[in-house]
Amino acid sequence: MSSEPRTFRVLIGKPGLDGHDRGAKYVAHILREAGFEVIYTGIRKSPEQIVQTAVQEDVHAIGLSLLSGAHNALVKRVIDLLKANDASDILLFVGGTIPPPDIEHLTGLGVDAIFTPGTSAVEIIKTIRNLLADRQRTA
Amino acid sequence: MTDSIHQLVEAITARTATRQRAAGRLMSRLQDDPALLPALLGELHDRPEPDLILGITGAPGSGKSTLTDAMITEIRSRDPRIAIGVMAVDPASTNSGGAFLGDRLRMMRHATDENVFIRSLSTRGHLGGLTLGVQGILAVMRLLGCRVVFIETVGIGQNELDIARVADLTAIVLSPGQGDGVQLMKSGLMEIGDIYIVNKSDRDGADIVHRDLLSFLRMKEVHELDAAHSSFSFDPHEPVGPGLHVQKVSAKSHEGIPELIRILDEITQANHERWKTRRAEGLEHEIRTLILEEMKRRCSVTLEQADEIESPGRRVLQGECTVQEAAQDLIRNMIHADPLTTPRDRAED
Repeated sequence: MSSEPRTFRVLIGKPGLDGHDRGAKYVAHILREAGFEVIYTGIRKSPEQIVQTAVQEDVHAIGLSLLSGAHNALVKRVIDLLKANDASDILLFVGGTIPPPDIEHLTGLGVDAIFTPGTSAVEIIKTIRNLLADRQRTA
Repeated sequence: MTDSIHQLVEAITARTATRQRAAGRLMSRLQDDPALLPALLGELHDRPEPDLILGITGAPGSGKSTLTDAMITEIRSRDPRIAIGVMAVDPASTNSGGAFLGDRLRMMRHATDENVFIRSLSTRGHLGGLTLGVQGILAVMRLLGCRVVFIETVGIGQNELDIARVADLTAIVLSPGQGDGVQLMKSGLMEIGDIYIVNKSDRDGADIVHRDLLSFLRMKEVHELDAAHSSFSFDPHEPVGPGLHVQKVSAKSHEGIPELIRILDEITQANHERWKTRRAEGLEHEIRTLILEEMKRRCSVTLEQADEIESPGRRVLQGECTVQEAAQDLIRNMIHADPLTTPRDRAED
């Protein structure tokens, strides 16, 4: 029914107060090289700003980079706001220093993929592509 | 399919909580399938058009996004009822087709303002070309009630020139540290501007850029009038000719921004009726572009097919016909070739 998929659009952003954006920029770069349109929102953004941007840009996926330790609260807020905006169908992935117990917690909240330090570029792109393809099939 | 366009339009006009979501989705739908645009425009007839569609262009790093951000702040603080739309166009990677869309990074303070709608676009991946994508987004911004629309582009390639035709006015952004007056002359930017903005006036060298710019514009003006009857004068305090505007600003410190908005306001007041007529004329250019693109495609197809039987080139070499005659034959075939199918045609199959 739906016409051919256009280029996938992904938002890469950093919620919260840590300013370490090397990882976020790296992921933004590899996604661009893989043919994605990447909307980069920069460091120290509120969940409200990130979700509103995702909604206006109508992205297929949101990638949040967190190295602050505040991931449980911030990711939950993003998920709640997506719901309130009728945007829960947007894929959500998280990258950064997430301890194993929290990985399970975040996945339970509805995060689709979590990439911890050391994940290869190939792995990240493959995972996101597969998840987006699954989502398109079920849509 | 048309039903859900209706639903999206209703969600936007009824000002529901998910209005922005509906607007974002509708923009994507139009980008995926430009054939839906007429249906949307049909619903828009009683909605006011924007008063001003401003194109903003200039070299990377000249501060276009920061300037747009400052202009949004100024307009919104003057009149909170005015909704603003921004289209930020960035180049697609020629290798991967992907893009890094980072313009709105400079405008994040407006991210939660429900009267500011920002949409990023790359120069690739638009069925029917970038201008059609821009027209679709513009239509949705009109539906959102945007009175002012900014369209931000980099450089002066064909894409930018096409977008400049969509805009009522084109602002060229310059800043210090991007080369001397010779760069100005060869950049090609000087031919398409209505307003020239020297940004980063807080930095060293801004006065030199300003002076170079004024003398360049005056030189152009003198040349246009008739060099024999005018004398060259490079006094930077002398005003430039009618229809051209130069404003020095610092988007970062907001210096000069209120004056810039006042200039834009005056130009808009004086011209917006005329612009509405011109916007319709601008579409003729788009129709022409579509025809040429379609004929180019048909030409390739016809030539490929001709190859299998007897190539036109060989016929010319064997003295069977002239180049002109071969071309005329091919044009006759092209007219009857299959038209390009749109995604909508495919969906209806």
